[in-house]
Amino acid sequence: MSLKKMLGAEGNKALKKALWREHPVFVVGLGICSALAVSNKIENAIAMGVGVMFVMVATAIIISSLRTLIPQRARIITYMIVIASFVIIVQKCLEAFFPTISEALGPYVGLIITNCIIMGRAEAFYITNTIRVSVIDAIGNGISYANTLIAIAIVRELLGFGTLLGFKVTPQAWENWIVMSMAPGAFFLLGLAIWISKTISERKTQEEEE
Amino acid sequence: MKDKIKMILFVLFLGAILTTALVSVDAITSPYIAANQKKKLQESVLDAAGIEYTKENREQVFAESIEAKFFPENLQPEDATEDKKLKYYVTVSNQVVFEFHGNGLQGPVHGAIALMDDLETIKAITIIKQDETPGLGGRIAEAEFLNTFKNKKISPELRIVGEGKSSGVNEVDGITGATLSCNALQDIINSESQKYIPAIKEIR
Repeated sequence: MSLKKMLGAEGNKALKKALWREHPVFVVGLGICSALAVSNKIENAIAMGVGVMFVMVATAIIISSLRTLIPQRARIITYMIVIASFVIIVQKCLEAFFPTISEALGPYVGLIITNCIIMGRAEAFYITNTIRVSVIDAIGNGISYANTLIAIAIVRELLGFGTLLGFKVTPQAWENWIVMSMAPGAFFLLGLAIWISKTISERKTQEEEE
Repeated sequence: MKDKIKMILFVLFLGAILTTALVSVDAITSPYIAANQKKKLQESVLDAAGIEYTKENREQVFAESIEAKFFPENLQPEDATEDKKLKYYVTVSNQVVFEFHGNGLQGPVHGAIALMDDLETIKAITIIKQDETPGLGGRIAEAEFLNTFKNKKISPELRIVGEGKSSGVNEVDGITGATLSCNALQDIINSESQKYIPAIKEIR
C-alpha cells in the first residue's frame, strides 16, 4: 500500500489509466507505427521502450513545469522542439556510450520524435497537470508502450528468427516464419492483442455494471 | 499584438536554451563517438585481416601489424585534409584491406574488405555501419552471411544471388528478405573494388 500512498490519489488514478483503462497502444491506438517497426527483436524493443520512456519523462517535466508560461498558440511548437531536443540527446548518448545498441536500433531512435504517444500525452495531460502527476503518467505510459513492444517482440523473434534475446531456442529443423520478421506479421499480432485486451476490458466493465 | 510578441519571445527563448543544451551534449559526446568509430575501424581491419587481438592491446597490434597507405591523389576527394585522406591498409603478410562506402537501400553502408595478396580473393568482409531495416536488410551485417564471402573471387565481379543458388567462385548466396540490400551491397563492393584495386596494384 506504500506505493499507493506515495503516488497519492491523483497519481494513482493516472497510473491506472495509463497502464490499463487508457492503454496508449491498445485503447487509444497511439504509437502503432513504431510498435510495428521496432518489435521484431526483444533487445530492440527494450532499448526503444527505455528511450521512449526517458524522452516522455523529460518532456513531462519540462512541459508541466512551464505549463503556466507556454502561450496558448505556441503549444504544439513547444512540444515539438522539447521532444526533438531530448531525442537528439538520447541518440548522441547511445552513440557515445552504448554503440552496439545504437547500431542495432539504427534509424529508429530518431523515430521517437514521431511517436504520437509523447505528443498526445503532452497535449492531453502535461499541459494541465502538476509535475508530479505528469511524471507518474509518463512512467505509466512508458511502461505500457514498452510492455506492448516486448510482448509482440517475444512472439515475433521466436517465430521469425527462432531466437529469444539472440539465443537460439528452436530445434535445428525449425523453419523461420519470414512474415513475422516483417511489418505485416506485427500487424496481425497487434490486431490480435488489441482484440484480446478489448474483450477482457469489456467483460470487466460489464461485471462492474452488474 | 502583445500576445504575439510574447509568443515569439517564448519560442525564441526556449529554442535558445534547448540549442545550448544540444550543443553542449554534442561537445561532450563527440570525442567518445569519434573514439568509437576509430575503434570500430581498427577492429574491422584487424578482423578482416584475421589478426588476433584483445581489448587491451588493440591499438598496439594495429600499429605493429598494419601499415596505412594513402591512395593516389586522383582518388582523393577534392577537399580532403591530411587526416581525412582515403587510406588502405597493408598487413605484415601482404594482404590488403580497404574501406568501402556506398548507398544501401535505406542509408549509407560503410565496411571494410580484406583481400589475399593476389588482390582478387576475398579474405573477409566486415560491415562497420549500416542503416538497413533491422531484421530484414540489416541482416547483411550478420557474421553468418559475411562469412560466406570468404575465398570468393572479386574479379571480374562478385554476384550476390538468390539464397541457395550460388555456384562458382564469383557467386555468394543472398538472404531471403534482404534481396534489395544484398543487391545494393553487391554494387557497392563491385564499384569500390573496381575503383581501388587497380590503384593498389599500381602502387605495388
